[in-house]
Amino acid sequence: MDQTTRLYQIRRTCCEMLADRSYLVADEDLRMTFEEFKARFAGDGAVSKDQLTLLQQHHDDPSKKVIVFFPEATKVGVKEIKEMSDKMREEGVTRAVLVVAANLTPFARSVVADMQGKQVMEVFTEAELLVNITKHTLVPSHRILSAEEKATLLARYKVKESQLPRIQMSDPVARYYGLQRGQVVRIVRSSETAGRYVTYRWCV
Amino acid sequence: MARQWHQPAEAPAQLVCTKEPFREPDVPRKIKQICFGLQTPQDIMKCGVFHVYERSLYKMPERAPHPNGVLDKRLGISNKMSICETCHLKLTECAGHFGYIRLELPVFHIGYFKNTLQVLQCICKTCSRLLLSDADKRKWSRRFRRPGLERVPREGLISSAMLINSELPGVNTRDQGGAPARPLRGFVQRLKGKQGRFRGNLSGKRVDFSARTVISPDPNLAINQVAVPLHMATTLTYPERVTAHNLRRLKEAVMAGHSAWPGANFVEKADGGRMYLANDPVRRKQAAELVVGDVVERHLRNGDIVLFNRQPSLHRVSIMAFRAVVRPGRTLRFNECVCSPFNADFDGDEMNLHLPQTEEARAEALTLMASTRNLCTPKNGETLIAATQDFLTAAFYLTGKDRFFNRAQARARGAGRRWAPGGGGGRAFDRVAQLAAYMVDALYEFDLPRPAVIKPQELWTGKQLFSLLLRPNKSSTVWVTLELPEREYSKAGLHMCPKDGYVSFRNSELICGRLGKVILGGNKGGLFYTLAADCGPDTAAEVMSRLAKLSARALGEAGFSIGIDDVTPAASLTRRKGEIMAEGDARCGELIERSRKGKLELLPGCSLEQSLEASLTGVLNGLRESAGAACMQTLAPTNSPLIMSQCGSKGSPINIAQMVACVGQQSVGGRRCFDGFAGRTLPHFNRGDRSSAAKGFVRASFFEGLSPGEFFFHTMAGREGLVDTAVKTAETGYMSRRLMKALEDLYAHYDGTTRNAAGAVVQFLYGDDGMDPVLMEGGDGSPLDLGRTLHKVRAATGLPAATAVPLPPALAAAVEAALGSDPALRLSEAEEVEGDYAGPDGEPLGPDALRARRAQGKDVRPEMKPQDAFRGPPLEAPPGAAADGAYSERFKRGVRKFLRDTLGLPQDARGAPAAEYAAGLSGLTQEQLRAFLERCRDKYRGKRIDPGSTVGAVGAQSIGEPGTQMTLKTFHFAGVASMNVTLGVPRIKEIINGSKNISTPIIRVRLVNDRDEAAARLVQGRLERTTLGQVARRIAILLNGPTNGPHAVPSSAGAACVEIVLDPAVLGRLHLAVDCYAVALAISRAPRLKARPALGACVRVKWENIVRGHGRIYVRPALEFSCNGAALLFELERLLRALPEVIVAGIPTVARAIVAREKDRNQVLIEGTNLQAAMGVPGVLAYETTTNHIAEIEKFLGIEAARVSIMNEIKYTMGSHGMSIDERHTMLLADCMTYKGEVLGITRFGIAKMKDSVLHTASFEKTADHLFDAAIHGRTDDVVGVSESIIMGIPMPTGTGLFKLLQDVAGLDQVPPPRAPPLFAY
Repeated sequence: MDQTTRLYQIRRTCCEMLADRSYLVADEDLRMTFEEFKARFAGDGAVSKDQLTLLQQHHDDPSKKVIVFFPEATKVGVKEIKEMSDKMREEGVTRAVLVVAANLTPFARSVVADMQGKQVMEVFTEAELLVNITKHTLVPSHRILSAEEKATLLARYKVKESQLPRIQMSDPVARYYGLQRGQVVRIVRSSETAGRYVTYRWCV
Repeated sequence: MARQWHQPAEAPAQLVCTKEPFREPDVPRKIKQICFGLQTPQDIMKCGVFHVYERSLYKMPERAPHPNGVLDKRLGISNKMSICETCHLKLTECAGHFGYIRLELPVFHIGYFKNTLQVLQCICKTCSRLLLSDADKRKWSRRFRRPGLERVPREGLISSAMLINSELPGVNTRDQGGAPARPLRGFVQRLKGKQGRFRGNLSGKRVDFSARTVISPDPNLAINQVAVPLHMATTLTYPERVTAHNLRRLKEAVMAGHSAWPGANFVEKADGGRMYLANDPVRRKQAAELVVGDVVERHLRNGDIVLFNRQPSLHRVSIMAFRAVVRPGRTLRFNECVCSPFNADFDGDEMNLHLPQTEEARAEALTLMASTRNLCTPKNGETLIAATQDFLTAAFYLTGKDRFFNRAQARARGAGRRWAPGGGGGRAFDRVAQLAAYMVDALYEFDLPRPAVIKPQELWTGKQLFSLLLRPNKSSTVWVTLELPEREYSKAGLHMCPKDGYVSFRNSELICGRLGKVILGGNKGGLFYTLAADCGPDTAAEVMSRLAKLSARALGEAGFSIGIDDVTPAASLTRRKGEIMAEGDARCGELIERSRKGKLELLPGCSLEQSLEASLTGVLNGLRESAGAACMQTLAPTNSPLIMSQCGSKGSPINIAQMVACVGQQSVGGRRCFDGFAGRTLPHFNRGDRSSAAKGFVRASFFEGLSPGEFFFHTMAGREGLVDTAVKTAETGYMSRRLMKALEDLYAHYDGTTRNAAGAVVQFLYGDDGMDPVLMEGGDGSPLDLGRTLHKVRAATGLPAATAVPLPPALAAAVEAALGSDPALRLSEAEEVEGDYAGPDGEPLGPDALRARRAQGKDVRPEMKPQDAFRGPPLEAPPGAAADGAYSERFKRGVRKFLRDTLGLPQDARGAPAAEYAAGLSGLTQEQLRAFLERCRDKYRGKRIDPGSTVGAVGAQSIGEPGTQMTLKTFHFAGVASMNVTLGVPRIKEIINGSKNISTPIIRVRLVNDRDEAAARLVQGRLERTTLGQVARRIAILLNGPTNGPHAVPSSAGAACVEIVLDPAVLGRLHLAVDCYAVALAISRAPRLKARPALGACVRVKWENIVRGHGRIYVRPALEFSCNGAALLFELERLLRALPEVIVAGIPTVARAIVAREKDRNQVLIEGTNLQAAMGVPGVLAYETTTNHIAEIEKFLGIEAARVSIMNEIKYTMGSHGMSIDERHTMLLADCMTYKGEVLGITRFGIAKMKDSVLHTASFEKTADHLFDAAIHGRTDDVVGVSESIIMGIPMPTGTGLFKLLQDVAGLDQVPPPRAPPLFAY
């Protein structure tokens, strides 16, 4: 597949992902056709990845922002990470999504891991974002519960959160929604026996 | 218990029962927790009774055990004569005592050896300090004290280790000292294994009051009876408390004593004395002195409740409660209908019988375990106890259209009564039909119906007899209405089917149809299922008993046998068979000839050889089938095997065809017989002979007899079957055990959730809708059979004279008004459109509809955008929550759709009121509709799962038991002939083990353009791994590469290079868009091409070293190799070998991709892994592309998708073996495997992650490891699960043990208020 199509699909998935995380994403970004994409980003043939960078505000809290980086390098090293970290500080953003072509260097990986807390950097590979997995027929819909909803749930079933079914933070769907440890996600499945069924999973 | 007994006269105020009720033991005695830990030397000394220090065993010359030696009598005794010196008990009572030995030098404890090593790895070997920071050290220092380490002689170490674990790795048995033949039995050996303490003694306990002998059939017994031999009945006893009501009977029993039945063996007096009724004087004395309050251990009587069991106990109906009937003889007997739950036959099977010893046990056994309460299997709700074999044959025989019975035949002795047809106007019959009398015991009343033929002779049909069987007299309230096609149904004409294959019961009268297995077998919707559901299981059991009696006698009278003439082929058949075989030979010969010339067209994805085999197999199987079909046509209708196969009692058309016409192809491992000799199966065939006879086709029938060669092939196939069975038993047994261990502690709780013993939620509502699988009426697991319910309501209410039929819209409103309080059954349409996956008509969308919507770019998923308001029902009441009055969405939709389909017209025909009215006329009255809905509601509520149900254990059995019936090694074509998928037990094993590597991973790729063949080929090319070798016309070393022109090789290293010439024809055929640039890119990135030149560093083929253009690529060795000629040559040779393996297109993990057509839609099947890559390929419909590899789904699509996939795969595997399992069982298994957030296999590792209990994991596998581990870490066990409770002998918190009564003692007065004794206290 040529690079332009790839990047078009990846960017679309990113936009959908941010929209699903309640960030404000323009309708034209979500509905962008391939031709529009080519016209906007690939005027001179190849797409420059830097152009694709997204910066979006949260639906509930405009000061909460997220930035999506598309680094050019195939193997992202410490240098690039530091640059992006600086950029985040400039923009006053604490959360970033990093879309890398192949993978991070081991050093860069440890830098990202150490960073957690002040700044959060979620690393995705391009292959992961080529397709929006939450639209797959096997994946039911997930929604993160608010703190109050979680408390209601725990009271309703008289359980401790550790007694809920679990989902791992590294789960692809959990990563898509940016699930944090301790959050509870509400899952609505279509069920063969009941038609529709609601379950919850606690992120670990 | 008995000591506390008081005569009621002395203490009238006290509540006295026939038996002391069960009470929880006092609080301090209850084991709440078990702690594990290490024993200190002091602890060990405390456990021992004395210090063992004497070496010699015996003291000479007395030959007595040496004091303070290992044979000291204080440690326990080993013969019946002596008495233990510590506890002063006899051999049977004394369990033995520990002594202790002081070791001269410290030794390693073998169980903790690993942990000791770990400790040592944490400390500095020179200064003995911990390799930790000071802060951490302080924290841990108290826990790990460094043991004094000294050199201990090797033998000493080993022999002390042997006492703990005698199976040490790397230690020879010779080193054990003592006899080398028999290894020592260390502590570990005592605990571990099937016979060890944990599994042998703690989890499985021996019982008294049990019996075992050979079984035999008896159709005269009822479904709930078991005949017990007299000898057994005099040994098995029940302790019955003497009351005023049974005093006389028990006195007689005591007088009869132990040898005469019904007698008694022991009398236990109120004061605790126990007397064996050995001889006459004792009996007389005891009988005279018998008073109220004594306990008599009387013999087993008729009507006593016994538990009856056959191993292997694969599911819960392997042990059921029966009423005992004491009979002479030596075998246990029961009705053949009950064979199937036990999987019993009478070829020498033995079964066990247990006699429950308390009233509670009897009551629970009668209500929960009785065979009549377990007619249906919890696996899928079908009736397991149903008519079998001869009963089916007899019913088929009796209900034939040509079967008439005259009055002479109807002559009988005994019971009867006058019957006046039409209110006393007709003749009175003074005798009942003899056959009718066969059905039941004497003194049963029959109302013989009016004969079907009156003149010239009164004749009754067999169908009338059957109506009588269902409803013997007019006072009976058994009403059955049922319509079902039998297996002989000609698919036309319904009731007027020429083969009489359409069965119709109207109000318990058999209108038409010859009865067979579909009606009388275990089918849902069959006669016995309907009876059990509508009239109660006892009625069903009664009818079944009647059928058994009638069948046995009727068939005995008519005679039914099989002889040589039944299987002798007619002359016409022999001729026809010759023709068929000749034609087949010709076709095979032609195929072989074509393949030899290479002219055989290849099947997709097959080589020439495979194509030939597939075509030949097809032809040869066709031969057997057509021979079989010809054979069936020639058989007389009275042919016994034919009758048996038609009614379903035994045998199939294939069996008949094999006996009469042709045995057919023998296959081993799913193929034709393999070559045991060079190029041939047997030495008298030519090498390379592919013909039918040479590869195991048996053209003879069993009647004709097999030739020696054919016989040999037959044994080859037969042996495979035997080996299969033997291996399967062990495999599935282990699988069942693991499933059971993983799921045993999951029960349905009072709040509707399914939780494990630790209280963690596995399902928020069992089976998603909280229904009990055993009670599901629909074949697809839906709760109600709405059609039958409506029939029943119609039959029950009847139409009033003047029918006021409301229009369907009005009907809806009426129902709404009638049931307005019940939101579930409200018919409003507004509610259902809101359903998530519902289309505009409230139907759940099928995959096609979903596709269509997706294609339009519509998002069918709710809540994809969190901005949307929270649309679902409020959190407090999730859909289908356990709150009473909640109904699953599917049920609501089902009722609405049913009503619309039954009452209204198709959606598009609606509108004209006249048409609506016409439709309404055939519909229901308002009254009936209300009754129907109320019945639906009540039935639905009654089918909820009971709190405390052991849904986990039942689920494990429901998945494990069908495994035993599956053939072990089965392959099956996934869409195309050349692509096999593993099925059967190995596949089930893969799924539940959560295997990371499965034997046949297959990705099913859906296409964006699934109509166009070319588009599919294009995607196939993009997916399939293509190597350079496949697309290159030539790969060769050029020592003098082109040095000028467009292809000039930079000549710093000389012009030597490897030249690759691409083949455009191949590229075109594979639809690959691969050019020289792409190949060059692939070469430069290929990891395999890395070389290690003399200098050491790895060198890739560098980009600038690849020259390309015009279909040619030149690969030049790296500069490092140019230093000497030899290195250069080696490098060139290496490149020449490695370059063909470079992957130039496709996904590297995909070995093969095949375009398959399924219902007009193309799809690509991939043999290989990497779902993510496949989804990303252009032209692939990513959202519907799936794989059968569960670990991949988990990795790329998450845990929820993995859960769905587990369910689908189990369902698919079971389904392809023709087994249906209720969805709820597989759902529970999938939930159990995924509720921890990752896919846990049902293996020792997965189970250890699921459960916290030490005793549970120790009783499963690796007993000693878990115990040592628990001790090291000081773990505790709360004793809440099933295994733990069994080990500790505590009632487990399941079923009737789930609830507890709690009383706030603080606020109570000291003395409870007196109350009157209950009515049935005595």
